[in-house]
Amino acid sequence: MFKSRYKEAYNTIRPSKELISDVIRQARIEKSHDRKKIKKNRFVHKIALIAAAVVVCFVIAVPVCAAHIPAFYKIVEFLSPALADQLIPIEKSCTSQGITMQVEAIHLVGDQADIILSLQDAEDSGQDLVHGVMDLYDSYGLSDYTNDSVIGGCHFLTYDVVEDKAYFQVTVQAEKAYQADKLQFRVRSVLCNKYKETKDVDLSGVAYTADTKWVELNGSGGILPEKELPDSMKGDFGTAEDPLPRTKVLDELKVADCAADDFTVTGIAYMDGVLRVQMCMGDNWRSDRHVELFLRDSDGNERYSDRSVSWYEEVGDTSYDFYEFWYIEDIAQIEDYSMYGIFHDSGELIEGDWTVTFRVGD
Amino acid sequence: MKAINRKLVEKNLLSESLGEGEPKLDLSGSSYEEVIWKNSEMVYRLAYSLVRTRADADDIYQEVFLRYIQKEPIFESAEHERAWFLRVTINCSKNFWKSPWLQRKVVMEMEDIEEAAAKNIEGKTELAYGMYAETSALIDTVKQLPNKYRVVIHLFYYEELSVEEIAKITGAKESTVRTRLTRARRQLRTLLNKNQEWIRERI
Repeated sequence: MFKSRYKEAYNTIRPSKELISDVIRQARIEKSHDRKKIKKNRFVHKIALIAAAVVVCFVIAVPVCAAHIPAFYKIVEFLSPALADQLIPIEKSCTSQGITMQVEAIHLVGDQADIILSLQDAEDSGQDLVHGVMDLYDSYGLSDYTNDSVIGGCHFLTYDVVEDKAYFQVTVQAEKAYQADKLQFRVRSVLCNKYKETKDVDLSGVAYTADTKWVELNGSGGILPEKELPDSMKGDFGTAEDPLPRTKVLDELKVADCAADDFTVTGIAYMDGVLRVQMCMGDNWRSDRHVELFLRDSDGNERYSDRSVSWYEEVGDTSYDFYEFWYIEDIAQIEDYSMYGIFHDSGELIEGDWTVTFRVGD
Repeated sequence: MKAINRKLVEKNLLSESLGEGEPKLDLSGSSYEEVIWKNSEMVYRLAYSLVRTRADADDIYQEVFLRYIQKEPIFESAEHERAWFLRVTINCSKNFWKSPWLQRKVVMEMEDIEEAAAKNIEGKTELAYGMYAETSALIDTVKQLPNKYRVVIHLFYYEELSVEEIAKITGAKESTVRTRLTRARRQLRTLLNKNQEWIRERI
């Protein structure tokens, strides 16, 4: 288990006995009311530290200055050395909705501009919105007194785990040449938590008998029309009083056991010649998760589901989205098959007002 | 092991405290020393999990207990005491992360782990060396996670705190803690390469 491995690894990490001795000694001095002595010692230490710091500053100032290259520069230099050489640092920021946007640098020529910007969770915001791929949701623009960007493109560069920052390159073009003495860059919304991951779905636990339940569908589709489905899979089209179509889906895992912020496989069964894979997408009011599931046979042939249905279930204020994928397949041995999914999490849309005013060439 | 170490240090401290100019103290009656002893390893491990090097962990460890000595908090219960030390350790680590000099320091010192592990495997078999390699690989990988994820991973897996307790200590919402755990696990799976399949499968 990961927990036991992690514990085992950290059990070897202990403070040295010298370190404990130092702390205990400090505690004793404090507690024995020898504060005068400790203050004096600290004063002497401070003087010594200041002296040492001055010497160290002189010795290392030049190499340290040379080594201070902004992170964005290294990233852009790696991706586009030509652009990196032309960037002018701006490093001005603003915070909205607990996210700090910083305009790191710009390359401005006439009516075109390349802007490098970063997003980061504001310090002590207590939230975790910036941690990977993000999107500016086409909500950015660069303007001066009279001129505004008319077309543009945004390119996610990278997420720097050390700085905990997401970097973007925005390219914009306006109708007239920009005036460099007062520019304003703005973003109105960001899409957080965007990611795509390919993972295997374990078919070994497939059930051959399973409970089912009626649900009202909010969507259905696939390459196989409903009328061509086996009779056991056909739903009904609703009534005048209750016009939503209904169908029977697996009733395995309770909705309360599903993750609100992740994918959960809630049932896999093979019954009446149909492989059913049911998945909960979590709370989709706050994101847009979806998955593409592929069934692979023993010859390596892969295919998408014949049909899928979707519905939602509510627990308190949270609405959970469910999908069930149906594969009509003559399966003799489930061991001959495997499944994988491409899981898309388009994230959470955060609307705010990130505006930075700057001048190029300050 | 813990008891042996403690005895060793106590013995050293007693002999040192008898030296000239050192205050003479009675170990048995000093409750604050008991508190330091009791929380030493927990504080150090959390500090080490949150920073890159043993030297940085040493600094945080000292800072935490200096704050304890100066503030003299009164603990209502063992849980309160534990939560106080965990929270202060995280806060001290945050101050550490803010330092622009340290923010750029991304290379971790593996020598400490290697040294510690070498002591453990000295004279033992290849199997032991393999276990050491796995252990240091795990620590190395977890340290590649952003700070906010390392906090929750350590508190959840090592300290075995509940999501609710982690939320209280870190000041984050419970949903945020859950999300961080999910994402930390996901990032760990990505970071752990094929050679570390044995861990990846178990996260």
